[in-house]
Amino acid sequence: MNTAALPADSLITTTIAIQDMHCAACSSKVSKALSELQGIGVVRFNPIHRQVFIEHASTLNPATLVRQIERAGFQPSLVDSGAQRSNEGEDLLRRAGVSALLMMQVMMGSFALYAGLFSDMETVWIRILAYASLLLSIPVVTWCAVPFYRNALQSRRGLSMDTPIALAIVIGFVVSLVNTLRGIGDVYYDAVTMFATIMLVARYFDQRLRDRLRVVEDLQDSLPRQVCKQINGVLQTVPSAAVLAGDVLWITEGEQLVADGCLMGDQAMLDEVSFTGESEWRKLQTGGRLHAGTFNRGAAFFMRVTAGPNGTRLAAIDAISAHALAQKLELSSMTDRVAAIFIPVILSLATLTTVFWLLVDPAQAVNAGLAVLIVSCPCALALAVPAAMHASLARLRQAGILLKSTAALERLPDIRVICFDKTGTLTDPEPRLAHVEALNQLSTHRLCALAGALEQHASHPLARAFSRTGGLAAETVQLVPGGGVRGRVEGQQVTIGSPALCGFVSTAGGQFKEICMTIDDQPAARFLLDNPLRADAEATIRHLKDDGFALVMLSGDDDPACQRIANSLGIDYEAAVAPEAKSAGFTAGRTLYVGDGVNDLPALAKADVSVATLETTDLVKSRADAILLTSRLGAIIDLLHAGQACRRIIRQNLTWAVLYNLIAIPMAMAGFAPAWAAAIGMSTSSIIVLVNASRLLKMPMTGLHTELRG
Amino acid sequence: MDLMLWLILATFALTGIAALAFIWASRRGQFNNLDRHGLDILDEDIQKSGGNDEHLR
Repeated sequence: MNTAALPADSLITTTIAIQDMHCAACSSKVSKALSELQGIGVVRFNPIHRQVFIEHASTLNPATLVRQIERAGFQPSLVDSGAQRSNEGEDLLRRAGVSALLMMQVMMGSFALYAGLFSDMETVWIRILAYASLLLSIPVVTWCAVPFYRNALQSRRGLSMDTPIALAIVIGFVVSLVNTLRGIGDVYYDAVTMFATIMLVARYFDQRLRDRLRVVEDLQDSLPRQVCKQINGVLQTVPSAAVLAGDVLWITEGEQLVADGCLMGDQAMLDEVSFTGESEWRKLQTGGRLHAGTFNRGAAFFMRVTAGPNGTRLAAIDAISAHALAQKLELSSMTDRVAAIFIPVILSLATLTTVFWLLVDPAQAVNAGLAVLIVSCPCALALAVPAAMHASLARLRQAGILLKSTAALERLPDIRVICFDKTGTLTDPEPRLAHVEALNQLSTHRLCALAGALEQHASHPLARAFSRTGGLAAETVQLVPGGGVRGRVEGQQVTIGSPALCGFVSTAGGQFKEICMTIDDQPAARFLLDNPLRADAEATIRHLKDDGFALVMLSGDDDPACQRIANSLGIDYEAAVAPEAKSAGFTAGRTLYVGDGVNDLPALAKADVSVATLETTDLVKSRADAILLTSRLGAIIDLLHAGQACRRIIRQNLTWAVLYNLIAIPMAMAGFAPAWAAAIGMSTSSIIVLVNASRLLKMPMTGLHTELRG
Repeated sequence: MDLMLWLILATFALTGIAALAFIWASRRGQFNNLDRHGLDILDEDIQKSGGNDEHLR
């Protein structure tokens, strides 16, 4: 590609995550596929995060890039490349780096000061070193630590964890400043800068984690940005946002719909897998209802729009889930609750100490009061909870579970009820060949090989049930829209498709889908397909039951289909539940929901912890608390265990922090808390908390064991 | 003893230079993609363009 030919100002960068890009060979395949497109600039890869950064002309739709990578045989998903997000992370990195550099210099001065305490350093040098430390600390306090002040002031819920951090920095600095100017008393510049640096580095890693997990957040981003609209009999490309009710749109083959409407042509074939989780395509007649977010899998057709992009059923479902998610965010997290108790107690103790010493020995009053504030070490407290949580998240990632929010981790131990969606969640999203009925003298093996040779040319989801390893090749293959495939295999004319196409009378009912095959127009075979349970569904359900969880299956399908699955697993079920009604029976604070379709969005949002399966769409993934990166359902057991282990470690960490304070604060109140003791106490308690949290990095996970054995 | 004062001033200057260099490097995007370069060695058909270490295709 010639980058020079592209004007620089029209280039934008799109980030695409490719889950199955493992090696350099994969990335070169991706870049080769991309170079076939017009208007591609620099392509960069990050193989660790499995992301590709593509510079391209702004006229090129990111959806086109995704489709091109898909065509090369990968599973790409669009990552939100908002400029603001990377700025935040970079900004934190800059502040942390500068803070660390300055801290090192302050430490150097402090060591000289501490050494001076035990030898006979001249007072003038002690003062000079104090002033030097003061100058070095000013940028840390006035620039590096600003994010903490901002968050503390903006916090809507009153006292958040940023409040004690901001207080510790400001108070520590002001005390030191006053003492430096007075020329007597201790200075704490080293403790202040070290504290600010540790917290900034922690924040930076936090932000990086969040950036990496941010996928498509906006509903409209998950839909095509342009559509083909008929204006005065002429087809024109217009932005999707400009589509209004009454417009006539031309939907080409494979295109995703951006609006609700009705079909104007004779027939259409719609893929609604993202909507219902149902992998079979739906055939529509003239006037049939079309939904935004679904894909056209048949021939191109005209549609009349009944609702523009903001009034669609997809938008309505999304609005419900967005509302519920906003309410979830309002719940205060554990750290905030701890801070809300801790800060008032510390502040009143400090006041008490000052008042006490004013009455006993006024010269000591200010120093003792401030020492209480410094020594009470919000550092261990501020680290106690996040360190444990991030260790748990890291461990879960290794086991194939991507947990997006630490808040969900806090809610996990309270879960008592687990709700599952049926299609695509408990059952395997891929269809399975359950039974072959031969109608001539050929062996079933031969029949399957013939079917496989033809079906590898079909993109219909049911075609995936047939093995492509039969070793036969088909010629003059012809796709029959909505029906099946026709072609020559070893000189014989083979047709495979629906019973109607092959002139069969359908006999299968209930759980099976029927596919028929004719050879030279003679009936040859009947294939029965079904969606089996996931391989480890039964074992997982048994395990969860033994652990005492209440299990419910919620499905939009009708009763018989649900009953069969629920009975085979031995769990309760509710059939024919509308998407909006799925969350009706949830017990607040105790429900985990596992789902995969857009129809699960309201339930996913309402549930206290929501889990999306591997095979779902980006929109669903972006709305769930956790995403399974494995097709094993057993990952849910690991998730629940991790929640419990994490809570245990947090309790231990908080107990330690409180114990430390019970010893340190009385000492400070008694007037014995020199600067060096405060610095040592602070770092030791932080290290203890971190080491304890790191135990979570080794917690046992069922997923890792099976993978090692398998 | 004057020497100590000069050393303290030198500390200030060096710290300032280091901080500015760090900010400059991070603005240039040096820390955006730290995992990439270690893996470049595995990639065979990459043409390096002079001066700039981006991959051009």
